[in-house]
Amino acid sequence: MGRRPREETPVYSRLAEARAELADAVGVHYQTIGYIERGEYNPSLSLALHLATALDAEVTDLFSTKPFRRKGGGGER
Amino acid sequence: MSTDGKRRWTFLWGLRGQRIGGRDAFGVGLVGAALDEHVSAARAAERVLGPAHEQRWSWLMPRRARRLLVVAMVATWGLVVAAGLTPAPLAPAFVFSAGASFLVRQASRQLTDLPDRYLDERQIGIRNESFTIAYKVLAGALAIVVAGTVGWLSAVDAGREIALPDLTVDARLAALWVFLWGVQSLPAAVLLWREPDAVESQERADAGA
Repeated sequence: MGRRPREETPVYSRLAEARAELADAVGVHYQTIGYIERGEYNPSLSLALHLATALDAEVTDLFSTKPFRRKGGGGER
Repeated sequence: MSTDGKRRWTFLWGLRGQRIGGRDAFGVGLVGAALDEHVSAARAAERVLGPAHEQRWSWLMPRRARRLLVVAMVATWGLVVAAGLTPAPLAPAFVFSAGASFLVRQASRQLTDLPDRYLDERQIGIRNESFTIAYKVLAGALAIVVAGTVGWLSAVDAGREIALPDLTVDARLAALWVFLWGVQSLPAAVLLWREPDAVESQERADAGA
């Protein structure tokens, strides 16, 4: 019966929902969260603080001047 | 009633108030028109910034497609100029050009048109950068036109006989069209050219692959 619509693929949906929830919580567009994730946009201090609050984390847990190490001792990202 | 209809009505109401000397009515009419504008922008923002817009125009969202669209739009300007300088009819070139500009507007999510209050800090940043670059491009283009005009005037002053090209009405219309659409669409075109692919677009493509 043809291919399933791309937007309904479960992994994509879960990621998109999580991103949209976080974006709503900090008051930015959902794509902006994606750009921050990928390191293509450096948020303002205010947005960084809001992100940390929304994720219940410290700003330094989310942002660093040095590349983070992957979980499990893998390479750096 | 559509928002446009409401805006027109409140504007006319304001004019009527002024005509009969009712300053209050005119003031209320202007406030109404401003409110309508606010509502109109809010609806546009809701329409173009949501995920539904991205899905509807998903074929325009990859960077490669966006850049091709920008090239196509500039090509339609060339088509308009060519149609203006030759006996070819202008109307089809206008239709192609307007169609390309419409697609550029959709692909850019109208980020260059929406008020700041509907945009986040990243969107405002890329919009401002796009306007800055578009300004420099337009300034360069205008500098060439002004330099050409000054050079022509200087040559005429020096006694050289240089006739102006015989510009027909079509050629003038074509020049006006390209100038107006260029000014209107260039910031959005710059934005489309520069913005990297959204993470969502890539994930959607990966999920469907």
